[in-house]
Amino acid sequence: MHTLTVIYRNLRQRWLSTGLTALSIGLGVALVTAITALRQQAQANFDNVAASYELVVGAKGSPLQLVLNTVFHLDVPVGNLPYSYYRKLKADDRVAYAIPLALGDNYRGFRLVGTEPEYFTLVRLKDGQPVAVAQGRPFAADYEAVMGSVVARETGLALGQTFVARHGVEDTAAAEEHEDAPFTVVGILRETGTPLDRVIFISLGSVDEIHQESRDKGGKSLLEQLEALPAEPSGSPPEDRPEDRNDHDHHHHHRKKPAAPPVGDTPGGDKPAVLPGQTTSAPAAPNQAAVGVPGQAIDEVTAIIVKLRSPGYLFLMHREINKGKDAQAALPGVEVQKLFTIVGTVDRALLLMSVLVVVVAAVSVLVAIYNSLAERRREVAVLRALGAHRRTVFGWLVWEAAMTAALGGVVGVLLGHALLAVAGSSLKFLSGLPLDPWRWTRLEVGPAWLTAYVPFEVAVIAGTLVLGAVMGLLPAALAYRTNVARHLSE
Amino acid sequence: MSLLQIRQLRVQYPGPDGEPPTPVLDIPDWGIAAGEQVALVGASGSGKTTLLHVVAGIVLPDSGEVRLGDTDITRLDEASRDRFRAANIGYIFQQVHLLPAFTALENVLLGMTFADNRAGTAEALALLESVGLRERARYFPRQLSAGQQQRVGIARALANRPRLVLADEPTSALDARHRDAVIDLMQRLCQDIGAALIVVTHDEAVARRFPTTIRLADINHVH
Repeated sequence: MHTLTVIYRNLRQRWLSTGLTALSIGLGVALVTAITALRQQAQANFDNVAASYELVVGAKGSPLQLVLNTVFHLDVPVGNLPYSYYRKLKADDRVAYAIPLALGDNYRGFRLVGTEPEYFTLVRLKDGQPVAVAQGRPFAADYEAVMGSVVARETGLALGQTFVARHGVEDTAAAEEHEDAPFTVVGILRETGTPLDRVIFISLGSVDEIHQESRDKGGKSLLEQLEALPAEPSGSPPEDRPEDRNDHDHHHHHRKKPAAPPVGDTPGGDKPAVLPGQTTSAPAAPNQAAVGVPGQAIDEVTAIIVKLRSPGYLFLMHREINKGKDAQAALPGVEVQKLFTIVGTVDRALLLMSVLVVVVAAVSVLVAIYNSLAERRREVAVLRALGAHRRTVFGWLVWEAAMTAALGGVVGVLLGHALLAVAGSSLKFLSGLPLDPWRWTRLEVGPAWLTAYVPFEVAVIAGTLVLGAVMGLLPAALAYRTNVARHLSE
Repeated sequence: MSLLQIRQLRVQYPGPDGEPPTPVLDIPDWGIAAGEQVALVGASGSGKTTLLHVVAGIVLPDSGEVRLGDTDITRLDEASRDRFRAANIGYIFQQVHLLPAFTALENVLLGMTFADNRAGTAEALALLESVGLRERARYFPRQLSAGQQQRVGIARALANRPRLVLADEPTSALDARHRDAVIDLMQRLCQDIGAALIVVTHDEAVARRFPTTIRLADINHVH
């Protein structure tokens, strides 16, 4: 009879004890698996997104906050830069492209970001492809919007339909609605698996226009709300701070001249009717000469995405900008690394606790087999009388412990990934970064020949197998020393 | 020609806390022939089971020789003794001791495993058929009656076609009808394969069913 059959039969005989022991190991392994996979996928996602952006320029303050806000569309902006700064940067010979971003409001929690249509063609994502409008067209006038794929899916808005934005980057019931400034959906971006999927892009002019109207009604700007908070971002002296150049609205973006005509006034295109739930074809692009190129007539921007003509300019320009008093430059890749160094401390603490749970659970394998040994001594004696050698019985018990623990390992790995699947949807909702719960996790510790070929999950199961075998040594040793004659006679 | 030959056998148990050891067996010379069937009778605590353990190589004597065929079991190392026992000696226990995790068939197959007997399932099923339990081959011990369990125990003891079968009070848990049936079955099957049979019992009714009855007191000098 095959050893595995013997072990399987013995485990099945004590199914409740085996199951509970395996489950306790499984819970610990599930935590280890979920934490490791989550951290690894989150870091990979953040790295991938950050890799699409070479340099981000914004107001003085926290570079991490600047990157989180500009690249990941999280957190609040650091401050604003004068539009002239953007023009100057764009005119620099070393700059391949510079794209301004202006934080707008939100629609059902999805951020409105003012930018230029170049964003969709110039910024290349990790897959080497541009952001690209998959349906419809880029915005060509104020109050036109291009939605990320997730926004379109979640809100159900289709091309040609309109929506009303709420004030601020968070969707709160108290937030003011810009009722008289509805946006028309003119484009939907391709699915990118990045935070861009959760963003609504509008023209720079729209951002300013909408808040001009809000201010006219006595509403508060976002920065005015932010300034009410106790912490003030550090940075340039008050007289140099771009925000302070405007004593009314620091964070939204002023026009120097009247904005482009409102949608509906464009020649050849009336404002589309609001038809909830109905998809219409994208509205024709208005005559740009009539509305002006969106975003060109404002005072300030929140951040600038910069691509340099040569990688050699990167650190030079980074240093140059940071030396100046007006702005800061941040390297997204570096900031993401910093972020995960901070997060890593918590991550390691959680991981350590989970490993301890596994070890404690593994001790329960020892206890379970040890406890069963009293009743199994006679079985061992019978096996010995039938001709089984001590080593055979010893090996069976070690294998039994190892298999119980490995079963826990398998259950734990599956449970950990299931946990990730459950948590994944809400995490994606929060960050816009995709989480593949059933993807293999990379083994990070060990020699290169091991980490190159063995995934984390396999290593964890093998680890629990070894741990279980070690825990089985004591009961197996006791079984090894069983007095056959005495236990046969009992 | 003797199959089992015991000479100058001495076994004693260690005394408690420095007390002198307690002698259990002192058998100058005893043996049985191949295919012989013997009832070994003695009072409780007289050393019957110990003698079976010594013959099976489970317990090593303090001195003496236990020869099965050409092999002196006492001179084998433990691993060799285990292998020798698995291949040459069948053991039937007083309380059957079927392994509860395994079916009747698997209990028989387990007996084969330790002797590297590759005969496999067909042979094991044939053995179960010979004890009238082929249709219960997939039953677990808890699903069998005491008599049926003992019959599986007999099939397991015979799985490797041993030269010697040792049975330690095999019918003590059975009523008279089943007792006789089990004894008859053991005798018939051992005869079929040419195995010698030693049945230890304190039951005179069992002893009477054997052509030869040995009283342990007659061969053992420890009283």
